[in-house]
Amino acid sequence: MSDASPLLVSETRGPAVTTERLPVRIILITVGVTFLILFLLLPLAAVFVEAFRAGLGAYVAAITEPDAVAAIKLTLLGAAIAVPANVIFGLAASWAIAKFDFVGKSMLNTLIDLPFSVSPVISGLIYVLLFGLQGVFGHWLQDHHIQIIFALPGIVLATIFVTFPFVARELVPLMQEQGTLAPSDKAGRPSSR
Amino acid sequence: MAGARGLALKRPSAIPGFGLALGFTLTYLSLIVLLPLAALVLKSASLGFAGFWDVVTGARTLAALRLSFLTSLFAATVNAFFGVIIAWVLVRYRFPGRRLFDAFVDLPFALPTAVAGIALTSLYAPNGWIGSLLAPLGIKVAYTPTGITIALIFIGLPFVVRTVQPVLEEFDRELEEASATLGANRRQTVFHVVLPSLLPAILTGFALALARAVGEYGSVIFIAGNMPFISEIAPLLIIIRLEEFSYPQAAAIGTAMLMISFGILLFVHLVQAWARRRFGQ
Repeated sequence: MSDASPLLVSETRGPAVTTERLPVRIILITVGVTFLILFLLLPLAAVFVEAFRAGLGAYVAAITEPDAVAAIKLTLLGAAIAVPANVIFGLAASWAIAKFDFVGKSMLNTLIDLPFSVSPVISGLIYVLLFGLQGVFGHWLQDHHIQIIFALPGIVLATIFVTFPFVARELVPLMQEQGTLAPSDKAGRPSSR
Repeated sequence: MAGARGLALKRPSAIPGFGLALGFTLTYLSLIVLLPLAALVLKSASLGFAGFWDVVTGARTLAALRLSFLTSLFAATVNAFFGVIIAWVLVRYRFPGRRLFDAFVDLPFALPTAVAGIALTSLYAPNGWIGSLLAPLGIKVAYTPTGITIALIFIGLPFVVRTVQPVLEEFDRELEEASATLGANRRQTVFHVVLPSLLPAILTGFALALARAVGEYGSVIFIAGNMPFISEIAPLLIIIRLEEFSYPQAAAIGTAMLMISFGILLFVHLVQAWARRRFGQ
């Protein structure tokens, strides 16, 4: 089968044995692209059509209305606190996991991934159970006039929980690739540079 | 943590900061994740075992749990199938718009789930772009379990594509050439050489998509219709109990969901370990 078609050339120009015949390629591309359009692009298009239905002016008016501005500000503020906290945690966790061997390491790995498999509803529920009025610390918090649930600290906590594993997940493989040699060891070896 | 005893460092003095790093990690993990989850289990334990069992096996809870897990399983299976095709097409073929489609795969990660839910509902409602095409055929999608499944497919797709894609990219083409040299045709090569080595990645993607789908709330509630016994998912039932201030009941349903999820994830993990032994290098 020749790879003559300029639009549908396979990635390798090498022997045709490592790719599929042209009809198969066309069918697979059609199936994949159709699925993406149907399930991802159409919903996105619907969002934009809906957002701009009443025109650009209405759109700008909607996002500059005080309530919307306050909501956007609050969301950004929550993220601005939660993300750095998770970055620090991710650095510490990946340093410990990638550079050292210790008992319970795979357990720690699993626990870090835990928030991925916990429903966001449950993650909200647990903080209500802890800090809500009926919660474990509810009365103590009320006596000291500290509000966590239905306030910024609650938003930050929930955001931290759902984004908890991301930084560590990305950093662990990177740090593992760097290896466990200390900088001084590397400097001690003869270098060509 | 109480254990300098159990720590066997690879190079005891070579790298600093073990105590600080691990100590901080464990403290943060405990405060943010473990203690709150323990509070959840404790709260549901306040019902006693009989009470817990009554809540979890109540008709409405059972229906919600069954709906959540069945639609999630189905959506994750669809995603595993089409996700592999999409990853394959994106890695192996060159066609116009490839990079664009590649970028769009991450869309469900970036879009707030509530926005996705509203968009899907407006698409599949009887007067929507797709819903109006299906309505004459007598197919109802929005406000039925089918709608829930579609929302779950939407949010789960990137998990499969993004776990399979890198493995496929690094797959050694020489293995395929060797297979062809040995007389296998293309179909045999793909199904007996390439796909088996992708299996652990496919399973990981499947498990992630499944876990995400089971817990999904934002994108589902808009399209589900939320009728008890028919289209009411388990996370929604938790919210309903919470709003009724039935905290122990909410905690019990949450604990049941956690246990079933972990059971499924453990099972997938075992299959994965088996696949690694069977097909791994």
